[in-house]
Amino acid sequence: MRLREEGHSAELILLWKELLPLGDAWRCKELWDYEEGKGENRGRGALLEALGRIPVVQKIIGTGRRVNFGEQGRWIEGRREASKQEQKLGEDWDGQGKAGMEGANGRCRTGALEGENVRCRESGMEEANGRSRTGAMEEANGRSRTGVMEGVNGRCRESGMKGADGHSREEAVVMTRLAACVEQAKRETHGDHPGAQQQEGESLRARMERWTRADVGRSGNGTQRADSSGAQWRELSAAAKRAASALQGRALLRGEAHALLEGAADIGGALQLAQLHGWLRLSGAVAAGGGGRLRQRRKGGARCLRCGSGEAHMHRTRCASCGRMCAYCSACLGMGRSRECELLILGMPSLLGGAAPAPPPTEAAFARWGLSPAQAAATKTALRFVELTLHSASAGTRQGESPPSFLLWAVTGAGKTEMIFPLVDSVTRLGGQVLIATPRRDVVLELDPRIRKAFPEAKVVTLYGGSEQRWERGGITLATTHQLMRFHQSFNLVIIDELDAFPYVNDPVLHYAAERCCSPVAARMFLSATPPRELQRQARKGRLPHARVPARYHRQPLPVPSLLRTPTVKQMLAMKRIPAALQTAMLKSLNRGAQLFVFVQRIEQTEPMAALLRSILKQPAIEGTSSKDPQRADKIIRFRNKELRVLVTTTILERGVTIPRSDVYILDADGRLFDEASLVQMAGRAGRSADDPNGFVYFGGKERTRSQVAAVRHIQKMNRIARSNGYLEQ
Amino acid sequence: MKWLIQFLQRSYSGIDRSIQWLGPSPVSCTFCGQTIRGGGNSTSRAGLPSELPKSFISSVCHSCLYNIPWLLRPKCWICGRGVVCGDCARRTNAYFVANRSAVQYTSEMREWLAQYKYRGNEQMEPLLTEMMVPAYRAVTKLAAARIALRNPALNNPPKGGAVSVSEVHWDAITYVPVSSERAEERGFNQAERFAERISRQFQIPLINLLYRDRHTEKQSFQSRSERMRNTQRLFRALPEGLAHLSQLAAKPSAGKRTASLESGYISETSQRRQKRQILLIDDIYTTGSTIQSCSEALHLQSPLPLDIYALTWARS
Repeated sequence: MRLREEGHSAELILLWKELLPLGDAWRCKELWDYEEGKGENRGRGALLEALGRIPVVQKIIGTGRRVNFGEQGRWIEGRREASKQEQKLGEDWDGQGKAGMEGANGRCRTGALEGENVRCRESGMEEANGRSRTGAMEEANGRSRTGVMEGVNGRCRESGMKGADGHSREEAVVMTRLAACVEQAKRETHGDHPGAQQQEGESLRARMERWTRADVGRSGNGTQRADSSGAQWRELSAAAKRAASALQGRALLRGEAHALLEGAADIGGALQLAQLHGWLRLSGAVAAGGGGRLRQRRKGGARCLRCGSGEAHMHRTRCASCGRMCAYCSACLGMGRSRECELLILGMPSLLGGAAPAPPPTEAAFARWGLSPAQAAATKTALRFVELTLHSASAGTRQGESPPSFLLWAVTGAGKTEMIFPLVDSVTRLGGQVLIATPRRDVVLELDPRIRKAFPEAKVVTLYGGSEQRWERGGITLATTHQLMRFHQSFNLVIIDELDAFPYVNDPVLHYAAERCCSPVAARMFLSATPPRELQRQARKGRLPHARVPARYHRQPLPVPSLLRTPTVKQMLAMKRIPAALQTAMLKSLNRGAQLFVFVQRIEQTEPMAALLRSILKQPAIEGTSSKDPQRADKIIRFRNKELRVLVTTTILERGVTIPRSDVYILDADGRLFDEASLVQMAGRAGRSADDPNGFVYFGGKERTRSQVAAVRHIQKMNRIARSNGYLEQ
Repeated sequence: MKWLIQFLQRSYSGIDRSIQWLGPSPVSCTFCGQTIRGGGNSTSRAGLPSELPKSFISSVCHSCLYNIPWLLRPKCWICGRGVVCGDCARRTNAYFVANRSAVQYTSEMREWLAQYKYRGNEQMEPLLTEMMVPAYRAVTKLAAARIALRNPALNNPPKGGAVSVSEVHWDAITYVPVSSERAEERGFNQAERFAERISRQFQIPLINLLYRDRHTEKQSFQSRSERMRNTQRLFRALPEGLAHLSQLAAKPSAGKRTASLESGYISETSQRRQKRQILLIDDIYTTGSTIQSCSEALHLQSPLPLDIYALTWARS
């Protein structure tokens, strides 16, 4: 009897899934799960009644149909007048559900279907039609409604077919196949299948997964299934498998999944079957606040399952896709809209390929990377960490907490990119997926050729907004941090470069994405010259494993900034004069053949300052640029090509640009926008090449601020550590 | 000693942060996301349409606000374009009276509309609608002037003075429909949303009068002649909507009209004026073919004579 009940509840869930839009069905399922866990001794009828009493369910049932006021030509006064009708429908549905429960096996479904037909007729064909397009799931559902009937009763009801009208006969056949396999899963739950022993305390989802798996196991000797349907079933099953492997490690919205699986026939059906097999997870892109488990409900509010944003970023609007007030997430709008009735497809995690662990790298093998002593020491520590982590993680899967991380604290110009090569190499050899993420697109583009050159045999995929390789997968992925939102438990080694840079810093969405893209078997590596305070503290306390690279690859100390007392840029511009000390220093730099970075605080000061310097230094090759400058890329190229001698700019150029022979002038260094980290970064533009290791750095300001002093100390400290470790040439 | 210094340093940064918290919370511009500096009150309204709501000014940053290409002085009296317009001169069988748009459809405006329409940033919706208020006033004024012209008796209303904007009565506001496919893909019909907000703000009954027969390609990918061909017989009037409209006209409705009823002046107007004044809302007016096609459908199927005016967000 107990088993029987189980079967019925599975059936009920499936029924729900077929009747409701996906987001709602999902919520109902969660709720059902919860309710069932609570009331074990009550009968099914009581359970259903209890469910019916829950306002959320009522609401879901009531609004499962689309209500479009405008279309009926009613006068909208900002008020909905159809609530009565909705309620009636709700009751209707309730009745059906009960009838369905009470009827014996096959017959109950007929009743339910008839109810559905009544509903279809009542609200017009358009509705059934329209609703079926809501999500990928719906595509399958709208049609499989007819399909299930065919599978069960072996006859096709014309009214049912009409409900699914607009779809070709061919599609209906495919759906029939899907329905047949769902049916098989259901039948086995009725106890015909000896393996389906119920286990105490198992969640409904787990049970459903087991049933569907059992179905796969038995598909070989399909005794009850007609031969033709067996072949069709295998075909669909293969499509589902293909979809599941293509979606592995991804988190995609419905439209994105369709773009990824482009060309495949019947994507909706394949996805649904893959979900039933547990090869991927389908859910609403926004987890609704009202539904869900009680614990979540208490916590309050909806949550975007793609970017992790909470209620603060949710906006509820009337939605024409699902006909209700439907929340969408405004935090990740730029990556396609994630909303309650939108489908989110989460692939399975990528685990390590199971290749035999590579032998520990010999000194000779390591030497091929050509690292300096400082780089080599840090890289070896990191390598040991990565290998240990992956090894222990594949033994016992980590649960819940954030992935193990390692901080590689390397000064500006230390050669961070070369240092990650051995790590990437080691993990790709293990068959793992590697991700290198940086906040900025230009850095990704710059990194791309270097990685391809270092790993000619690996498939490198470069992702950024508008990338051509958007749907490809490879062993090594280079991406901007925003692209990480499209991944879910995907990578075994995640390297996050410039982690203290805009926009990664202070953006919880990107942090969430960077955490979620790590596979359960993963190590995470942070690279920075100026790690945020919190990470520095953790490293000091020993909570965060780290390695420091205090010296540049050319084994010369970092240039230590000199402090100059200067008036503010505003005053200089007003008086059309710069202080004598600054002028002499600049002329000296120009005479020694260096190129000059001049940093100012505000965008609108760049151009006037450039003009002022042009006239004072009698040097025409001076330009100003900023993030708002359309010719920025062009000016930077000219600066790189030495066509420009002086570039006046803001903090946008504090990272990433390497000019062999350069001096750095920071004006208004006492200003609010320049903190210790950005002063250190800007100072790091000087003396980067082996030909000219001793550039000059000047901090000009009215006052000596804490940031300036801290930046100077930071640089001096790094030099001291380097010297004491013998990393500097004497 | 060292820990004390550390402690002080840490508390310093804590205080620093809390001071930031105490300051006025920064409002970011809905269009560009930049923080709006300074109080919204200090901004001068020079160069802005005088009817622009205050709430709009305070939630848009300075540079966005002053770069909006308003269409304040139309050169073409029919389509509201800022330049003299050949299209309207060529058109011999216009079914609508006139169109007024809020802004020129420049590349920035295109970007804004795309943000809303295609990206689905629905937070922009109230602001985009508020931008239409000056154009709404303009089209209402136009309608008033036309009524006054047609009924010379009304040129001397009992109280003296010309017919003013507030006294003109729109019988209904309606919008250009989208196909159900598009509505589902996008989640909303932008024209419907605009119309809804305007109807609420000015208390005009919103009636859905139109239905889109077939699903067409996005118009933004089409040439002028393609658009013209495509929009032919694309729309149908909804009988329910038309019935609702005539019902509305039969019985004097409550609200604004009663307020100025004291002299019996307005009720007199509505009796004499037999044509129903309809305001049709859409997002963009490009060749006018959509508006024309909608108006045609309404004219052909409506039992009542109609005067159809269009109000659009942008004129390209």
